[in-house]
Amino acid sequence: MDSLKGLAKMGVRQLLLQALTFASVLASGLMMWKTLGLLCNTESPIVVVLSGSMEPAFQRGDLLFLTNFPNEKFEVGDITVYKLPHQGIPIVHRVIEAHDDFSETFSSTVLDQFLLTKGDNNSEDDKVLYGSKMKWLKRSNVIGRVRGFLPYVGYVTIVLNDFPQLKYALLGGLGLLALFQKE
Amino acid sequence: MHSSWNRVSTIFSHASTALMVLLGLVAATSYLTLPSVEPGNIEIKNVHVYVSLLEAYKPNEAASLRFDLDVDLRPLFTWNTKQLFVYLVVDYLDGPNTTLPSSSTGAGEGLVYSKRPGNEIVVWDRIVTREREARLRIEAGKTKYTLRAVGKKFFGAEPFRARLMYNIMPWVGILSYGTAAESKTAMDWPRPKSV
Repeated sequence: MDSLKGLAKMGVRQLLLQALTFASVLASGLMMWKTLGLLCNTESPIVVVLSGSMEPAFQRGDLLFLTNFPNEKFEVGDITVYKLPHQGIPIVHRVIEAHDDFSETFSSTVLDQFLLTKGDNNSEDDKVLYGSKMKWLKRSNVIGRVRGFLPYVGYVTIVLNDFPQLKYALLGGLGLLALFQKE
Repeated sequence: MHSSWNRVSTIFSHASTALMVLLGLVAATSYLTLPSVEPGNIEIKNVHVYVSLLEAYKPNEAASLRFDLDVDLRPLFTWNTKQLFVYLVVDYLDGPNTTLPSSSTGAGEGLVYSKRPGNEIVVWDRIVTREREARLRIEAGKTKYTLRAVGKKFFGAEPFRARLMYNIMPWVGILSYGTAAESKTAMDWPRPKSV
């Protein structure tokens, strides 16, 4: 009740100002994410590990930092994050085969690569994952190469995804806090 | 003004900032002081090329090999080494009689590397999580993964080389790579034997 009274006292201007602050926080977060993506040349510069296929190095909830520069060849041993056309979830696996594939364009020879990946903790390579239509991974399937590692921090997002109620409660709580808090 | 909520949130934000700075410093210092190893020995023996019966891999040429390995990776274990991923790579260029485009001369833009398509295949790997397991001495080791030709044949391809590589995976920070051993001479692919 107290806070409701406070809301009434604030008036429309104050309320709008709070909403504006909230929106600018959101916008600057998005800007930082997109700038990082631009610098690293990848659609998602930071990913959370979702499966145990790279254990014991990467566990569920660890954060990985990616780059995907166009003039860098993938080499065996590189850990890539890739997305298959028929599957939405990005997969973090290591390249175990890389074969150059040249194609002639009008003015130059362009390099693509046939890649085969495997999870360090899996006994089989990813040929089965690719499906019958795809024998190899191409450069265009790869979102990025893992450059940096930060443990545990991403676990928050896994918990929030597993328990959506918690996510809405948190978002709602933050929103209310932003609205009611003065200064 | 100084409600307990304020205090808790200040302490929490201060602590997390300090933690992030500390982790950043750990990552930076361990990347600046990367350990290295003495080059070890890798020797390839007994290359075996055969015609695989698996229809999925045309033209069905596959290979396996045996190797001797002697390398000491213990110096790579520092306080920020979570594990090593050690892997044996075989690499070779496609032969002149394969899929090389005819007019690949002009220095164009984009990705132009060697004129011939290269191939890199991991044939063996091992995860090393403890320092005392990092002294690797293997005799007549078998390949874990079969080498398979990609739409071409090994025979006619250029001679191959083998090298032992490692990937240092840290507790926090930047992943780094290195070569621990290289074969001294390039080896020719033998003619395939049918199984």
